[in-house]
Amino acid sequence: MRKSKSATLISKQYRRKGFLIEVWLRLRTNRGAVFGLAVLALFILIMVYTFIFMTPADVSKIDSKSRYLPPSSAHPFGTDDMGRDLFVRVLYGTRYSLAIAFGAVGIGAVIGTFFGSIAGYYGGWTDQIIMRITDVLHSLPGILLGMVIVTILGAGLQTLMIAIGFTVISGFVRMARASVLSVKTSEFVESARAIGMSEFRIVFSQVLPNSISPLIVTFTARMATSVLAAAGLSFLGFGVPVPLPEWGALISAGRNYLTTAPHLTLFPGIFIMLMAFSCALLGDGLRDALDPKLNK
Amino acid sequence: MKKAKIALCIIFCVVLVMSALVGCGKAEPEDTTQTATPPPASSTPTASPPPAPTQPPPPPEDVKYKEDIVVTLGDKVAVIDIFNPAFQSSQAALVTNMIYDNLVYCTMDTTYEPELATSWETDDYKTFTFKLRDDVKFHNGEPFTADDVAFTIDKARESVGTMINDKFSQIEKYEIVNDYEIILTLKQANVDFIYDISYPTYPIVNREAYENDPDKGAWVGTGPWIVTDFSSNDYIKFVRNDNYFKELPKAKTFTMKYVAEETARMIMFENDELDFTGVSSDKVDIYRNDDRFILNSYVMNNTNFVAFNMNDPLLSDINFRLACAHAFNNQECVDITLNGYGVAAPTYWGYRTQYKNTDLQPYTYDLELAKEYLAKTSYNGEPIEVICAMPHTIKNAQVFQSQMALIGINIEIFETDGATLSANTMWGNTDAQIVVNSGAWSGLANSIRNYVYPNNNANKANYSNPEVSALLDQASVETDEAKREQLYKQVQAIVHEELPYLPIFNMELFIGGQAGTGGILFFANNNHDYSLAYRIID
Amino acid sequence: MIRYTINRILWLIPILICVSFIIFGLLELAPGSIIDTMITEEMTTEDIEILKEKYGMDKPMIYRYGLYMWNLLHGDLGTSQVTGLPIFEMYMSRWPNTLMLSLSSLVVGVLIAIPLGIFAAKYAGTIWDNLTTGFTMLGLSMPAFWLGLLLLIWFAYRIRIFPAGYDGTWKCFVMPVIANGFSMSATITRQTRSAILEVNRKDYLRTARAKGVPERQVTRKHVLANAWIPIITQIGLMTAMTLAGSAVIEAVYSWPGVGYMLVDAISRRDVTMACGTVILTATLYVLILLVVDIIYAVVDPRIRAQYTSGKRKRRTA
Repeated sequence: MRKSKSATLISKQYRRKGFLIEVWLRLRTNRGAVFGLAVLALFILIMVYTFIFMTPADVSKIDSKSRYLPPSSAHPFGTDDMGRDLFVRVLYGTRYSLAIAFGAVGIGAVIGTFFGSIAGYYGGWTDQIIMRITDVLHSLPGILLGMVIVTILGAGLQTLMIAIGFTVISGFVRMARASVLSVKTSEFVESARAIGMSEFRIVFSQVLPNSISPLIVTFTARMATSVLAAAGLSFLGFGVPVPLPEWGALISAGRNYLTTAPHLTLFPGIFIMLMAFSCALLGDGLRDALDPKLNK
Repeated sequence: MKKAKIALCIIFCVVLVMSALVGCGKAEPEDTTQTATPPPASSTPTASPPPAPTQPPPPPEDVKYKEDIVVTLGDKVAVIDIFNPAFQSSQAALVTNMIYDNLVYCTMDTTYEPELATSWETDDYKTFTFKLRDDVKFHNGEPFTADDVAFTIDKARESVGTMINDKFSQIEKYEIVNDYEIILTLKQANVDFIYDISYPTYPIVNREAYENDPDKGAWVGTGPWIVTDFSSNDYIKFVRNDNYFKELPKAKTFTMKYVAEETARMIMFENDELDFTGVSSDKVDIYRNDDRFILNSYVMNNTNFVAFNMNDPLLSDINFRLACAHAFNNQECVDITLNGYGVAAPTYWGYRTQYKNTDLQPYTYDLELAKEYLAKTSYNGEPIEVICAMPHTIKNAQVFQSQMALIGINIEIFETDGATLSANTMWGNTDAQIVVNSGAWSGLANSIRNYVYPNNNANKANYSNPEVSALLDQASVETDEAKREQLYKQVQAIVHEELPYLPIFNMELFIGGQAGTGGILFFANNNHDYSLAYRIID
Repeated sequence: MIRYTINRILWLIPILICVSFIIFGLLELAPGSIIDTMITEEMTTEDIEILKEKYGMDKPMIYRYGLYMWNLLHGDLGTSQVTGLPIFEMYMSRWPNTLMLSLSSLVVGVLIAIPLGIFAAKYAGTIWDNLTTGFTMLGLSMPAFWLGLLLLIWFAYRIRIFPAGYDGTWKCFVMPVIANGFSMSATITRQTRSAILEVNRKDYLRTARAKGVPERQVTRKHVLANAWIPIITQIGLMTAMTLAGSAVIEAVYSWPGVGYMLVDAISRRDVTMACGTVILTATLYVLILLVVDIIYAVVDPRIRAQYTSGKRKRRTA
């Protein structure tokens, strides 16, 4: 075993490429994960489409003559209280959810992983302080933090991303620290030290790649919860400014018309569910694919 | 894993079907909203707007009345204490009308009736002599005397930062002649003083109550209802004051509660869990033809407006404001925001406020003219920020945005909450450019002061014109009514021409009640009197 | 063990101080202050200055924070700037409602989730397992408020069996509990299933079966006993989260709980109230996690040994 490990250290490049292909092959057999991936890809395509073919004006065009129309061929999802076509608005809103899913979680992942790795690697007081700060972040209710940040910085997509990003940091810190701790004492690092690699390079070239798999799993799990959290914040009124059609905001706008025009809350909700569902499925699939020991 | 795929598909179908069942198959009364064209706006004929609310007929005598009445509040009530600034909200008057009385009762806009005072007289609007009733007791058993009036005045003058402090500070001194007569002398003459003290949130409270129980003593008044239970931000429960000196309510217990979710509120109303509730203009058409409910409506005196910040270099250019005025179609706001239930305001004035200048013409809707004016300004397509906070104003801002886009003005909406709006639009601010908000108007013409006099927080346009200020100062001490009317009409003409405010509309508000209900006194400034509300059950 | 508990409780203090500082600071940074929610139409700038003085807004933030901390260290959470009532009492008067809702949701969720998880693990790989997975996925991806709204329409409006608002009887519990409990049970089911599957792979199970231990005993003594820990962790986390009060569910069902109190405090910029609520919530959170840790120690002698032998193994997850 020892021999193969040092061998893999040298042929790291080759191993990594082979590893990825292996993962992909395993992932492909998981129908659920493929479904999730396909849906996410579809959403990305939709977002690109709206970038090319839609302008913000299309989305907020007010038409006082066609308010509250139920779904029909002219308006597949019906119209809202200002006569705006809901289908166009929901499609346009894809970008916000994707931005949150990838961007906000990305921010949290980068910051969290960085600090978690440092905490795990150096230990001692650094570790204590970072972990206590994480505890503090963790005990702040996510909604509260989100609300306050949005109140201070003003409603907007960037603000929402920062707010959600903050709430996912603590998960990544814990994950990174655990990964680093488990790898720290392994032979990879010993051999690297023996060769004379600098500490910095050790952390970033040896330790991190081995924590990729829990990172990916945490990332996708957080994607799902972030989409829901963003929708929740928008629902409470602390999201993107009006009239931007973020899905949670659409549900909030439609909640007063539940008895008369339920389609206003129905369709955005279905889309949120689809997105969270796909992220979760993909996450599960990736977790199974990345862990060769787990058999179904 | 084929099975997984099948399983997932089954579950998704189940969810979609369930949701679709919720979505389709609406109940019958809603069929009217499914047509492509919304109900014509003339279902409430805007040509002849709804008449002013009148005194309800006295309730019949020989029927059975419901003992417990439940109504919803429009907003949360955090405290009950007229001297606490946190009590100042749109719902304060609803509560004070139940528990307290004033010296004078304002019946409709500007007519007054004796309440705790039997009579009042003045020669110069500076010294007022009040004769008080001698048969009134507070809820704690203490008799009502001139000493309580004195206590109220003193405590009001101590409570800095409240409106009651503002109003009662104009009283320079009071003189207690005997237990049932008191003379008030103001610092300077004020023709509207009786209106000020008749305002429902400045009632008379009891000295002993406050001194014995600092917390709950604030709930003690002379009114027809006694507070039995109060849960901050949730509900207030009352029981009838059987020793009330005026007409006794028909019900025995009363509950006022706050339900946050509008859908829940409508469902409760339809399930007969509420006797009265506010109905939003979107739902009016559903209940209008339903025999189970009665819809009471009135047009609110408050006027929604678009304010231009006169401190902003671009907006202080009259051409820009003229361009906006000619491109703005406020009737569309009525149709969209209010579902047609409202009156487009021709000028910025309260709906039934006195001395309205009806000679002034509203600005015509003329896009070409608007573009001409816009060309004269230095506007280059840069985004202009509109700040707004309440649900209706947010909708108005969106309509404004789409209309201004037609002449090439690029509007960005900054939607925020009440506190931020207030902080960003303080007098003298140079940040906010355009503010879309709602302006409170009483029946008195001097309400205009709030909006055009410098140094007033409600003056969101940062408007300051020495000529207008001089006219207003003159009017507040002018005792000749005809002359006063002239002065106010002049002010309106100047303000209309200078256009710091674009008027939008006056909302028509609806209070829905179950069949057999009645007895609410509606006031156009929203300070309704629910104390005599009843419901006949058979 | 005792030392560990005391150590954890002591760490609570600096955490609370940090949390309160952050909240206080953030709310002060937010535009507007409590005064802005009290201003009426007719006030002039002088009136506003007077109001500011009354609420101490004219003094610098550090001064106000210092005053607040001074009171806090004496055990006084202060009074709400809006109502003037002591925050602790206001919180406690509403907390039982949140507690009842959280506990009911938790009980219902756990009662459904654990048997379901065991069932799914037992039939892993079959159609039943996939159906369960689908169900849990649904629970995880459905926004709670959306479900809440759908339930409201369906059960309070179409079929009128449950009341739309809070009326104090058991009926008004059903819909919020379902809305809350659905996602909770989904997470716990997944956790149970994966924990049991994880344990199932362990060698000692094979040994036990090879030895001839009856299946039921295997399940009871070995599978469940070992799977317990991650399940309890998850339940503990969920308890802590729901006890913080779900502002969104409370908004939809007009539930008089503490979740919405916080949202309200933020909109009104009632700094003392917001701080107080967060401090109380954070304290509860930490205490619950501590209880979970103690339960670990009670249930699992291996963990107990770690604590009592003086070597503290920090939880890494």
